[in-house]
Amino acid sequence: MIEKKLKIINKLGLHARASSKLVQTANRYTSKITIIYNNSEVNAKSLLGLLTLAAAKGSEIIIKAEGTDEDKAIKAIEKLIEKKFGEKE
Amino acid sequence: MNRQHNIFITVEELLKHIGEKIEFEIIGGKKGLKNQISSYHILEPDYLVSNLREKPKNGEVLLLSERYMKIFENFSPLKKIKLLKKIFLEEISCVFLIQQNEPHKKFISMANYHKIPVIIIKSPLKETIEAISLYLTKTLSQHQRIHGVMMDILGVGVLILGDSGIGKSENALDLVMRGHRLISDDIVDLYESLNGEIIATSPELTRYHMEIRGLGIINIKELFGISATGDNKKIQLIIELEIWDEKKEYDRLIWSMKTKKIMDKEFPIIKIPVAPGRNLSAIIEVAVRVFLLRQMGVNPIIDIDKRLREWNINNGE
Repeated sequence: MIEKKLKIINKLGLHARASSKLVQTANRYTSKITIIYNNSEVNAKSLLGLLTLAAAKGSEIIIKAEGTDEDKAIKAIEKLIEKKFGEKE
Repeated sequence: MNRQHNIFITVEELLKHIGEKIEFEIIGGKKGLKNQISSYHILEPDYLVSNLREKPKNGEVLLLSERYMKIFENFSPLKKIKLLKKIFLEEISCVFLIQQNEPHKKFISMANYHKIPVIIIKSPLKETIEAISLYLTKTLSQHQRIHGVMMDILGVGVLILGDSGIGKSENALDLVMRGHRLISDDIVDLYESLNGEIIATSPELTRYHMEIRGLGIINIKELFGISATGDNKKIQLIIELEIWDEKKEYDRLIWSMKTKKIMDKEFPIIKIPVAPGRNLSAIIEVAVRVFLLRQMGVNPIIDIDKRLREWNINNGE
């Protein structure tokens, strides 16, 4: 199992469209991926779960992945967040 | 799974939340509205009249019913003061009075002096206790957030568990169309009620919503009406969906129900193997019916076995 702390840097935070991109990315991997923010741990493959986090810009989330492709999964999610989910700001 | 725990809320916050349902008036001790409530236990006045009960703990709410206030009115002045001193302790965060009339002047002046808010409640006792204890337990008791679906099926609170992608949401939708109620899809918030039951509810943000692949996010309340949803329900049964494994040997008789622990409490669990072509929502609904019958002591396999044994005794050599 690996764990990584990441910072949300896009202006709108984990809004609906960004969350759906994260879900899509997570679903490409077989590992069990969870996201922890503000005392709440949710499944990264669940859209409703991500939405309840309401993680705004600047919030630090922890991503946990467990499975055969855990490294790749975390890297992909990290890249997505770093690229601001493909958004301009 | 994770746990959250609020340490306290203020009297002001409590009043704000029960204000929708309960009619009340703050008649004294307004300076104490920021007092902290840290216990979800509502104090009843037993300890005031007998020395047997333990003393109130820090951050408790005291509730005095109309019947109790009538007894108080008949006390001698000296006894009244003695009692008031017992009521307005620093441990108490606020006092609720269930009555129509203003209480004795001394009562209000004591409240102001000790900065303990006194609130007169005009709504019935039962509703008041329900509203206060529901909010207090929701915010102050132990919380846990889990991945699953919570439904009210035939009046039974059913928590459906299973790995993601197994079809929990689709089944929940099917169950809603059969007339059952959705409490929460995907994320279920659990808390322990005063009487030790585990209550499941939905996060406010996504309440009444469901994600169905191909449809996106849908609002069940808007699509199916108020009777298709519920705000909270106690857990009575767990149904776990698991992928059908050809190699695994399944218990074919289900002689007795297994249990699963959630928040330190045991709940009966029914494990249902999922395979293509199985009508899962029908199986889940029947599972609940089976559970209800078993609770009444009805178990078909025991009946058949009994008949079989009798037949064997009568017809064997």
